[in-house]
Amino acid sequence: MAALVMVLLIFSVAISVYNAQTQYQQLLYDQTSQVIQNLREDFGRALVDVLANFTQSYSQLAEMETPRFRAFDMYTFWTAAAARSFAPEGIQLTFNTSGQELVQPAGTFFGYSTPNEYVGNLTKLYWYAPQSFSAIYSTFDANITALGFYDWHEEGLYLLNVTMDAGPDFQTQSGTSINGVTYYQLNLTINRENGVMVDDLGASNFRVEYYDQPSNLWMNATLIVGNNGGGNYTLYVANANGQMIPQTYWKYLMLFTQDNRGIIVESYTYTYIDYTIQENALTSVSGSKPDETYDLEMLDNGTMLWYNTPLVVSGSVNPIPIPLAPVKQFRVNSTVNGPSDLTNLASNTVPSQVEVWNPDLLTPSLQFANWQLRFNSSEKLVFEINYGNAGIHQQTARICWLTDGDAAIPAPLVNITINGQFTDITNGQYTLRLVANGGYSVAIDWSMSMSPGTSYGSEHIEYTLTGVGWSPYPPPNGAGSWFPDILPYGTWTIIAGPIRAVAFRDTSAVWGSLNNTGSANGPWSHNETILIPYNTKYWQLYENLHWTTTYTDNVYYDFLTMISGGAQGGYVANWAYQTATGGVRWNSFASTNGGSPAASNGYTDFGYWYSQFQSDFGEAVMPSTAFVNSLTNMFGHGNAHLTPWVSGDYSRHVLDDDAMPFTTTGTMTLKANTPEVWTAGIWLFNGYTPGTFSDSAPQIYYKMFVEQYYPTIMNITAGI
Amino acid sequence: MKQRRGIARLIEVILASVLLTSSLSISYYYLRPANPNVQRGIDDLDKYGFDLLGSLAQKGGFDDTILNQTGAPLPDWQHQLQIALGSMMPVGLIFNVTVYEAVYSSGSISGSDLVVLNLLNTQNITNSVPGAFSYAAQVSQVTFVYTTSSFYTLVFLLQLARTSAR
Repeated sequence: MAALVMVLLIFSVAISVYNAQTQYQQLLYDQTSQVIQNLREDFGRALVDVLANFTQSYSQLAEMETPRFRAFDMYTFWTAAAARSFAPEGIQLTFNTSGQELVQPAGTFFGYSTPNEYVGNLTKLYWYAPQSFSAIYSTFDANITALGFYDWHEEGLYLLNVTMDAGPDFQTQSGTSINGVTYYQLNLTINRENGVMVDDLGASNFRVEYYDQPSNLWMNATLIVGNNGGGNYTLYVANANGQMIPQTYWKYLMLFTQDNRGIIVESYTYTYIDYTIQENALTSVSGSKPDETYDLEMLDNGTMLWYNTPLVVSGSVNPIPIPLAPVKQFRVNSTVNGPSDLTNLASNTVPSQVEVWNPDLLTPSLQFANWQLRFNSSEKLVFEINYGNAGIHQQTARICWLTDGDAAIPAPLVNITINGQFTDITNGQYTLRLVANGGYSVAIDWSMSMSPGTSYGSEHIEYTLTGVGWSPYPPPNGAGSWFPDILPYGTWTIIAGPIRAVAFRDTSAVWGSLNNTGSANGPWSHNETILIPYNTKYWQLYENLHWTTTYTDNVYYDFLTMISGGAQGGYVANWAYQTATGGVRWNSFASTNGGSPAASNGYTDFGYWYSQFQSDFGEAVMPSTAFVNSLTNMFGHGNAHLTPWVSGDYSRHVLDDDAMPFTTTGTMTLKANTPEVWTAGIWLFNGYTPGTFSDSAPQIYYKMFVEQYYPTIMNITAGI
Repeated sequence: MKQRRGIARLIEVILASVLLTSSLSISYYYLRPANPNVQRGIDDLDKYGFDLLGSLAQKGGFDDTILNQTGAPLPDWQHQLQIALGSMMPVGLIFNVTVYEAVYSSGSISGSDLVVLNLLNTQNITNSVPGAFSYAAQVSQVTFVYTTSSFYTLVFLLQLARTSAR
């Protein structure tokens, strides 16, 4: 009996305590739930604001660092503001942005396949594809110690997801006639976080750009927006004037979607362009040709260039425009074993970069290596295609743009080193030394010099550009001759991109060689551009010189002279050149003072390369047809000579390509407006022991630089 | 002898039970919550305050009514807010709202920028007369945070009171 009473008593105590606890919790609930609800909602508002600002900023700046910094700054501010605001309530808040959340599971959407796509590091953009999204993700934990409330965990994921049908239905449509105009249809499905469909968008939320071929610009399309409900839309697309977009271009569209929260998504109807490119220079070479690498340039209108010359497109193939994605997104893949080598096409990424040129596309801009912008009509996408394997004369290059907004710029592979008055540019194969400041140094008459390897050494050959006239030496009336009398002059501007460096100058300056004096106003205007691609055996030289006044001097005019030896030693033993009939003439430089040669000592039957070489080292100039024609036509046929000689002090081995060779008597006159416009490749090779020369590098590769052997485009296709 | 010992134990049990029951009754008296009318009334006011501001927030009501897109206070925003809140206030409730904007201060703590609350009000936003809250039967205060679409974080301190007890 007593035990029973005791049990009842204890039970009643437990019930009383439980009741009190429950009542207490109920009271706390009302207070905590309201505070937490306010926090959750404002956390969401803040994240949406951060994402909207982030996407708008990125869309404008085309680079990720500034928008992400700003996003984190906004986010941090809000967390501090929230902590400060609720401090009197005794709330402890812990925010976290280090987690990852799956946003888009792997799948195929209307023919476009994506892997698992996550959001992390606060924000993430997967753009530039038919299935694209912008997302932000963060978590927070809250304790309200004053109310005994602990371990509230909240996850915030906000996004805008745009899926377009760019698959077969889109590709094969014939358009819809509206009021007599053919509009092409673009079907979209748009959702936000938690799978909620976005069905409140109208015409002001969409912008579509198409490539307008007549103006060579991407233009805003005329849109009719059909809201099909449930987040489904149909965009009817016509050109800027409300007319049908031509057949060639309507499939290549860029869609910009901005929802009513301000979040932007950018999506394209294609994700790559394949170019099948045929080399025509080494088709007769049956073995491997590992150094046949072209550094091709691509314009936004789909034109591909080699030495600023558009590659001829085979048959009725139409170029496909490159979309205006940020330049850091672009990558180029290439086949290795011909166009059917699809495995390498999907994964073999070749060196590439985007360069900013002046609108004429002939001269680089000072923003040459700027990557914080979108691709547009002033830019060139540069990439390297190799035809090294035996029997391979066609390759396919895939121009693609990465969908991950965090894509990095290509790693820098070309290095620039300043050594006093010299600037050394190393491409992995050779080091090109430029006398960068002022164009010519005191006491030496060159401005460019190439040395093998990754540092400049005694084994090198120097190059002098456009030497004109000569002066008596010693002055004023010495028995000897100092030449050239004048040279183009000017400071080189040198800029390195990730995989190609450029040196250029555009000036009228002239250098008086004998007196070592420069003048800003010479008798000419000259524009020189040197391109140094990564890991190739060559550098590219563009000369564009025009005589602006009539000029008279003693007789001598050369285009591009090779000099070895000099004050730094490093004589190269032999010279050789290709004859006009394709053979090779060679000899060793004189071992004693050969004096200044007379014109008759040179050769007039030169072809498409000339070289200084020995068994372990050699370099060759590989001129274009424009070079050869300009050289032979400047003073008329018969005057142009290729002249090997040794300087009077035996300090230089010289191989001169003369438009007008040196003579001791008479004068020559250049008329105003006389042009000297040409290109050449300057090639480094490992040397050669004289033989038939058919297996020498210059004889194998020279056609790469001759216009009639430039590559041609066999096919162009785009895909998703 | 045996019978007397049994009666004593019964008396002990009865006395112990009386003692325990008395203790529980006394402790329950002291443990029970305060006047439920008062307590629930304040909770209800809190809830009403959150709901009121929350409903305005859900409709984006604070986006373009207090600060413009560059962060400058809009003209007459205090009067507009007073009208908006007043129109949603039932009879018998008075309010007084203070609005702050969270901003970085010029100082910092441990290298981190400090966020402070800048008072935006230049006048009282209320539907009561001065001193009314001193005589109110029930008073509650709600802190509510709202980040505008232009990313300005506003903090509302809303005081609510009943002018007569229920």
